[in-house]
Amino acid sequence: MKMESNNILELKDISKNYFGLEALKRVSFQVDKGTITALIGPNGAGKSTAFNLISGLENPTSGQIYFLGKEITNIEVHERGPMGLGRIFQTPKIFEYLTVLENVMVGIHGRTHAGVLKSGFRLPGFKEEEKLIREQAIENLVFIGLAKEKDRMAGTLSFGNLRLLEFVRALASKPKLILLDEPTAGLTPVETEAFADKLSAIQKTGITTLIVEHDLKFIMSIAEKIIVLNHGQKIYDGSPASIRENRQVIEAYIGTRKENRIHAENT
Amino acid sequence: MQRKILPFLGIVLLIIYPLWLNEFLVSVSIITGIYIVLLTGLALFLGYGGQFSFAQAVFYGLGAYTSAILTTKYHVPVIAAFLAGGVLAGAVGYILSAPILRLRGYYLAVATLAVCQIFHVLVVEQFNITGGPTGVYDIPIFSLFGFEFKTAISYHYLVWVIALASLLFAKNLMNSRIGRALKGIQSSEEAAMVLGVNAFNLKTKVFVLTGVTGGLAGSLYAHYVSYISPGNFTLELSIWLVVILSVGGVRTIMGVVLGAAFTTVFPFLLGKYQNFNMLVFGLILVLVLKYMPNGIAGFLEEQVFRLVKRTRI
Amino acid sequence: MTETQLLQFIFSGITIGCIYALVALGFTIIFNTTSIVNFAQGDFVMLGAMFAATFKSLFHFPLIMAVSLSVLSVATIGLIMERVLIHSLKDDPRLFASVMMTMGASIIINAISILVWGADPLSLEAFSGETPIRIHGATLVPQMFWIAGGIFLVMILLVIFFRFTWLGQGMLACSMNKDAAASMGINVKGMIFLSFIFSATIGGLGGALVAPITMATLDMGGIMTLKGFTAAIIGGLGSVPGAFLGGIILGLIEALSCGIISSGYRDAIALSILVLVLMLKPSGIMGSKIIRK
Repeated sequence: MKMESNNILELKDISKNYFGLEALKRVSFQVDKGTITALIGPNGAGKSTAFNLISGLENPTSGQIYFLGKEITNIEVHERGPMGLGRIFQTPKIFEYLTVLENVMVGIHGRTHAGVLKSGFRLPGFKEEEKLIREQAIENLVFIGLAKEKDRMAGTLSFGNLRLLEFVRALASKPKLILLDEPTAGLTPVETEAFADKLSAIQKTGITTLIVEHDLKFIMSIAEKIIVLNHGQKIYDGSPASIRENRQVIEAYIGTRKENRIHAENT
Repeated sequence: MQRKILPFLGIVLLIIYPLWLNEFLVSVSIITGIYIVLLTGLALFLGYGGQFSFAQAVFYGLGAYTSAILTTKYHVPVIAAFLAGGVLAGAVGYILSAPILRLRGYYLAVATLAVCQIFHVLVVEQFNITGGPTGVYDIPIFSLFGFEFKTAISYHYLVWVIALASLLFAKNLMNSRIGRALKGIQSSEEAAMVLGVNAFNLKTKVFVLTGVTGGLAGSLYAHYVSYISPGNFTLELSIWLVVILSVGGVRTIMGVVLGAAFTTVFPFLLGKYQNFNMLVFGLILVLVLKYMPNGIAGFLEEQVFRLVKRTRI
Repeated sequence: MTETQLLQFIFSGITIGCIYALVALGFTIIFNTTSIVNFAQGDFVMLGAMFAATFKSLFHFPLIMAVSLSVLSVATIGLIMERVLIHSLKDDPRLFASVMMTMGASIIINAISILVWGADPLSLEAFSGETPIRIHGATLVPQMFWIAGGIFLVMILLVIFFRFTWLGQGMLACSMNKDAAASMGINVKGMIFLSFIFSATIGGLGGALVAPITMATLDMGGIMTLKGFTAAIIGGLGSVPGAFLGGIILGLIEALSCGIISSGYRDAIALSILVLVLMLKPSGIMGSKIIRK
């Protein structure tokens, strides 16, 4: 089957059921290479489920997922990272018993190879690899602005820095596509703007971004394409400009006029 | 020049001190060394795998019995039996890891506990292989390419070379890509997996390591005491090993050494008042848990760290 | 195996299973409130047995008084244990430390017990005599009925407590989410305190009930902890009916494998079944709680 060359991620007829609850119903969409694409929708729409399926933490009930033209539907979680798929979580999942620098070094784990025997016996090649890991990690920290905190225990960082750390940790794995799950939640407006700059910067290096967000203003300012989910189904797939006129999207977020009238009458 | 002489002298002293000790203290030293090997793997699993394992006595016993049986019944050279003990224990660890390591927390603890009891029963009942309750005796002295470790001193060096090698291996592992990945798994297995860490695989490897070190320690023990029986490898031992690591400190080398030393010294701690041994130990355990969350070793490290910061050495 | 033998094994299996169930229930109560597994649970049973035997056989108190005093004493020890050890742990201790703390308590309890009672076992006479009752050739001792009665009473009380009383609902809330429970005004620390007292009481009662059959010995503690914990896991940690089921199942498996295969393998069989259960349904037969650590 021929894949378009600028298609980096494709979900085809993806459904996910949890004991009768349909979290996703035959959802299909594509993400184009090098873009910043947004995945939005009200709470419970299925966005996090979609992310879990893409990163492999869960398996779809039916449907296929393609990454870089290859089907990854049944590939294990830990194999998707090295393929170029990065992800950050809704609540930052930082390794709090490691330092900031070490956290980023784990990000590079998927692209390095020293195993138990090589590490334990310090066989040839180990030192060189460690040096490279450390150097790249420091470079990453410089990029994100956390280089000063590199030896600090990750658990002691401020929330904004935790988010940045998780972000740069994912970047360290040199992903081709990065999944961001509500990255600006809990950030101040200043921090949010700084984050937007970082997103533009990584886009220039060719990384594709798929971002789940509730901050619509933020999305409108950076996304090139928006996909809207509601109740597990895709209800919009297109540019930010025409989304304001789309009735289905407005109803999904604000409720229908009839619902609002009833609500108003009862309060 | 001066800065290098002191540690050098220190190391030389550490190497030659056993020559001055009496027989009893040398045996204490040997047992401590064996326990270090036994505890190192377990500490990795507990501190870096973040899980309980009450199966350590199984690996200890597997190594001891394998080595003992191979050398007494089949006249296999000791060095080969020694390695076989480690390999067999590691293999059993590998086989067990598939069903057991998918469990977490208490369920994993109980599963390892069950394995320990099952092993004990098997050893006692299968007397054709293991000699049953009477055990295996006349286990030969350790010999390496013709050299027999007949004297206690020579055995002391053998054991401690292996003990230090284990500690070094563990330390290298902790300060590596693998060590970081393990610590990461403890915080968030999902985040680690997404970054490419094969969590289950890693945990299995650590468990196998626990097995190998346990098995080697068992073999060293068997050839030292020349007589082993099922009573040496009980659930009580497994539990004791976990508890003593909690007291010593589960994330550091010093914790392992402290744990091993304490185990050997403990029975003689109170001399006349030996009856109060367990009571004192219980109190120590409780106090350490309350005031020293990282074990005694962790506590000492923090104090040293504070001292160094203040005096800026 | 003859029908008589089978019946005999079933009877003894259920009897000992009831005691395992009592211990498992003690685990469940504390676990439900604190997510801690109390490694001193079996020691409560041992203490109950020792106290009851001491009061009745050595001090010659009347039976009811001996048993009541014994249960009260064990409950007091549970109280002390909670106040001194558990309560003083920092507000959100790592689970590892809490569990180790209970192990420490167990070590201390056993150490003091040896110093107080010495190594010899104590005997306690059966509550209502020893006249055996024969059913189909198998023998039932009256004490077995006391044990079965005890467990049923405790179970019913617990079910009523957890389902219909405010206190019980509060305890359940604590088990699901301590912070949410606290924010709703539930006194979490008080719940933890109560759960230890309850578990100790149940354990002590179990000890007093089983002592006439097994004698009061000091190594009962470790064995009961192990068996009770196994039973709780089989039935599913955190489930009251699970604890009961797990205990009975474990008791039956032990008794039956004793009869079918040589008694040496008895423990191995019960435990192998445990491992099997864990592999197939890691949360136990009736368990549904997700263990986070």
